[in-house]
Formats: sequence, C-alpha cells, structure tokens
Amino acid sequence: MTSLALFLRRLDRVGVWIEHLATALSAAGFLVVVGAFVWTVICRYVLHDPSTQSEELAIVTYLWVVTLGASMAIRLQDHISFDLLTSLLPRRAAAALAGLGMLIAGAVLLIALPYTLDYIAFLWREKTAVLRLPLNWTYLCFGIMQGALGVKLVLEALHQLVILISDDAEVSA
Amino acid sequence: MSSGLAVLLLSFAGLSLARVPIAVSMLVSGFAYLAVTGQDPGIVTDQVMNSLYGSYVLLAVPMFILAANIMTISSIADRLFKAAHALVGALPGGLGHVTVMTSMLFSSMSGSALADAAGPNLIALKMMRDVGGFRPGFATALTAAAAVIAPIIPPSVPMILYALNSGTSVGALFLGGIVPGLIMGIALMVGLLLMARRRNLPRGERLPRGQLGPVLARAIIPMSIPVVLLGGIWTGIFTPTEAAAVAAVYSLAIGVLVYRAITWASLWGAVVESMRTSSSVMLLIAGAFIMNYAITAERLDRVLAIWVEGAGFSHLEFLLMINLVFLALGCLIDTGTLILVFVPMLLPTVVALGINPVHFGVLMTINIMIGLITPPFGMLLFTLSKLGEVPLRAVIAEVWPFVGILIVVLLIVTYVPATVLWLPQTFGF
Repeated sequence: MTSLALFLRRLDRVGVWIEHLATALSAAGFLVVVGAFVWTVICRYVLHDPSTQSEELAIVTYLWVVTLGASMAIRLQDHISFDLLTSLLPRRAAAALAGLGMLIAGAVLLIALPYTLDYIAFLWREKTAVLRLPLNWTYLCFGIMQGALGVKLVLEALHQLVILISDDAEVSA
Repeated sequence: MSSGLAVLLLSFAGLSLARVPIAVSMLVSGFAYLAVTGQDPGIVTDQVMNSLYGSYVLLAVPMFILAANIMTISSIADRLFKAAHALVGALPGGLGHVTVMTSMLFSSMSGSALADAAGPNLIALKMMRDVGGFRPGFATALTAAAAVIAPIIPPSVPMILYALNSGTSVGALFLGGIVPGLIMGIALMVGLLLMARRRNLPRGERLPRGQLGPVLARAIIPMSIPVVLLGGIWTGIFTPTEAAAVAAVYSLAIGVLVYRAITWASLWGAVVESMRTSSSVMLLIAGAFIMNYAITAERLDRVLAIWVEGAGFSHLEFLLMINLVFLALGCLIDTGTLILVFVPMLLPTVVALGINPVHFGVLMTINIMIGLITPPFGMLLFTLSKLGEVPLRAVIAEVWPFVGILIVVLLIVTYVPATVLWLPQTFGF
C-alpha cells in the first residue's frame, strides 16, 4: 500500500506542474477571448465594420480555455459537487463511496474516449464558418478534456483507496 | 419510465451523491444513457460542442465574472460602502441598512451572489461585526440575505443561463428583475428597522453635512457603470452580451486609470480567478446540454406538461408548487445546475399554462437564490461563514427572519406578475 501512496504522491507532483501550466495557458487564452470580444464590439460600434473573424476567434479560443481550464487547471474538489452525504458518513465509508463513484465516472469517460475521438476525427472535412478552421482540430479540446478528467477521476479513486486501506490499518492496529 | 431514462437519472443521482463533480456526473450519465439506448457516444461531443460553439450569448458569462472580479480588486466596493453609509447609516440598525444598500448598488454592476458576498458584502460584514457591535451570526446572516439580491437586479449570470435555455430575451429578463430586486432590498431594510427596535441594534453615526457631498461624489464614477451598462442595453446601443465586455473594460479603466488601485499581480489574479470560475460554470453547461438532449429525446418535458394539465392545476397553483420545489432544491443543488437542467423540462408546461416565460425566469431565479441562504445547506451561508470566520450554527440561528422576509417577497412576485412584467412591457419586450 505504501508503494501505491508513494506512486500517487509522485504523480501528484507532476499533476501540480500540469495544473500550473494549464492555468497559465488558459488564463492567457482568457485574455485572448476578452481582447477578441472587445475588438468585436469596437469594430461594430466604433469602426462600423463588424468583425466576424474576431467573434469566431473569441468563441473558438473560449472553447479551448474552458475545456482545458475545467479539466486541468481546476482540481476535482474545486468543481461544484454535492458533498452532503459523504460529509455525514464515517471517513472510511465516505472514502469507499467517493472512490467507487470516481472510479465508475473515470472508467466511463475513458471507455467512451475512443468513440469521442472517432467522432472528432470524422469532422475533418468540416470547417468553422468564418475562419475556416478544421472542425476536428477545433473540437479536439473536448477529447482532451474527457481524457484528462477520466485520468484524474481514476487517480482520485486510488487516493480514496489509500485512505480506505490506511484507515483499515489503523483500525486493525 | 424507459430503461434509458432510469439509467440517466439513477447514474446522475448516484454519482452526485458519491461526490463526483455534478458536471462530470451529467456527462457520464449522458454516456450511460446513450449506451443503454444504443446510440453513438459521439453524440455527447456533438451536442456539447455544437451547442457551445453556437451560443454566442454564453460569452457574456465570463465577461460579467471578470467585471465583478475587477470591481472587487479596485476600490469600487469600498467607495460604494461609504456612499451607502452616508445615506442610510444613521438609521436604527445603521450598518445593516448600509449592507443592504451597498449590495443593491453592487448588484447593478455584478451578476453573481457569490461575487457580491466575497466583495462588498464581506467588507460590510466585517464592519458590522468589528466596528458596529452587531452579533457575528446576525451580521453574517444579513450579509448573506443581501447578497441574494445580486442576480435579481441586472446584470445577472443566472438570467443569462435561463435565457440560453428558454430562448427568452436577456434584455427582458434584466428589466424584469429590477422591481423585484428593489422590493427585496426595501423589504430587508424595513424588516431590519422593525428588528432594530426589538433587538436594540446599534445606530450608526450621522455624517457631518459637509462630508456628505464629497463621499457621494467619490461613488459617482462607479455608479456610472450600471448607467452605461443598462442604458446601453435598453437603448439598443449594444446587446447584453456586448454589454458584458463593456462592463469588464469600463471597470478595468476605472480601476487602472481613475483609482490606480489595480496592480499587474492583482489583475492577473482576477483573470485567473475569472478563468477558473468560467471554466467551472461552462463544464456545468456542457453537462446540462447532454442531459437536456436525453430529457428531450425521452419527451420528459412533454410528459410533465401533460401531467400538469391533466391534474387540472391552475397557473398559480403550479407556480406555488414550483416555489416549494425550488426553495427545497435551491438549498441542495447549485444554481446553474437547477436552471440548466430544470428549465427545459418545465418550459412546455409553463407555456401550456399561459405563464409568461420572463415572469417564470425571474421567479425561478429568486426562488433559487433564496435557497442559497436556506439552512442547513445554503451555499451562501457556508461561503460567508467561512470568509467571515463566524460559526455556521450562529449564522443559521439568525438567518430565519431574513428567509421569511424574502419568501414574502417571492409570494408577492409570484401572485402579482406585473411586478416583473411591467418594466419589460413598458420597454416594448
């Protein structure tokens, strides 16, 4: 069990780096969204020449920002969740319930990932309306989000397993 | 109930209870539904991405969030607090009135109850507790109740989400929220006046006459934000989505150029925080899109409409039922989830009963917001108890009178639709 805990700790360190990187990228992307959006408004009302390019740039960048941000820049426990039941349960039971839930959710997302990627790859002929960006590349962020969330959920399930087993050890001791 | 629908609802409930993030629970339930009904799992990507790509109005959400965060790091909240203090601070229970008024002023600039709670309301809470001599539990409870007004007085993030799901005009919803928001604020202040005598609440100091003008003048620039914002929307100069960008840039310009209160570090912090909040909200919206697909495919919305019609409910009985259900759900489930999941389900019934969707949208928002301060699980109670370092038990003990006042306002708004519809109809919506 200790080796699993050590392994998870190392992965957590890597996770922190990924989180920092994703935060910086997503925040920079967020600024691009704000800039493009404001430019759209300026073009329409100040220059009287609506810019559909900046409008689409804002939307496409936003898709990437929120999918990367939601899956990699935010920890699972910082997402909105319903923790009433697990907070009422004893620690071991809560860890068992949360671990099972995370494992099932992570497994479903990872099992469904090939279908998602297949759908995204199928879009290679389609392009966005204005900037003519290939839709498969535009929508790839959803596949990345699904994969990242799946991995994080499985790892969180393992964390809960460590809590469950270590409590076991304390009880038996 | 079909097996697909059963799997959808059970997996969503089961995973949510197991502390899996609600948005992820929705996505996973969507995959499970598609697997059971033999549909291509690629539909999740199709529904989510095409809907997000096609919903330009959604870009207003991060912009309003950014605007609220920028206002928080600049000295806007402090100036509004001082202006409100100059106006109503001398009343019995003075700082309590200041808290409500500050919240109402800030509500017309930010669209989120949590932004209000973490910004100006936190300042008000600390002043009431540390300087004003208010009991910490009472001060926190009042602060939470005042924050409820934020998404009712426009702009409002929940109303944008409602508009997205119902096809209702954002401008009409924004207009519809003004009168109920003002009634809520006035009702809280009247309630406070009555409580002040009974509880011997401290009265604030009256500002010397010579200082009144300068203090109010310092708040004039922040108060121009709602004038520009809402004036721009209602005169048709820009759309509500574009108004969000104007709000962000305008508040940034005030913070940087006029007050010089924003540093690069604080600005980056506001951007990161806005990105995080927006991403969290958008994941929820993504999950809701696939849930809505399943609900529509199962015709659950139609079944509900037929059931309500068959049961012979009048529209007022239906609205009362909605009030009770959403007051209960609002203290358990997040605002965005409630609006995104339940609106598509209820809308056909609303239309069939002849209820105006703008009236219903404002009503639902008030309902859910009251849920945020309803014990034992109201999210605003948790947030302010944590931020203000006040024990939750003390807050819960004091919040009931405010919940009662807001429920009375809710009933007035429910049974007098003109409170919501008068302004939108006056402006031709």
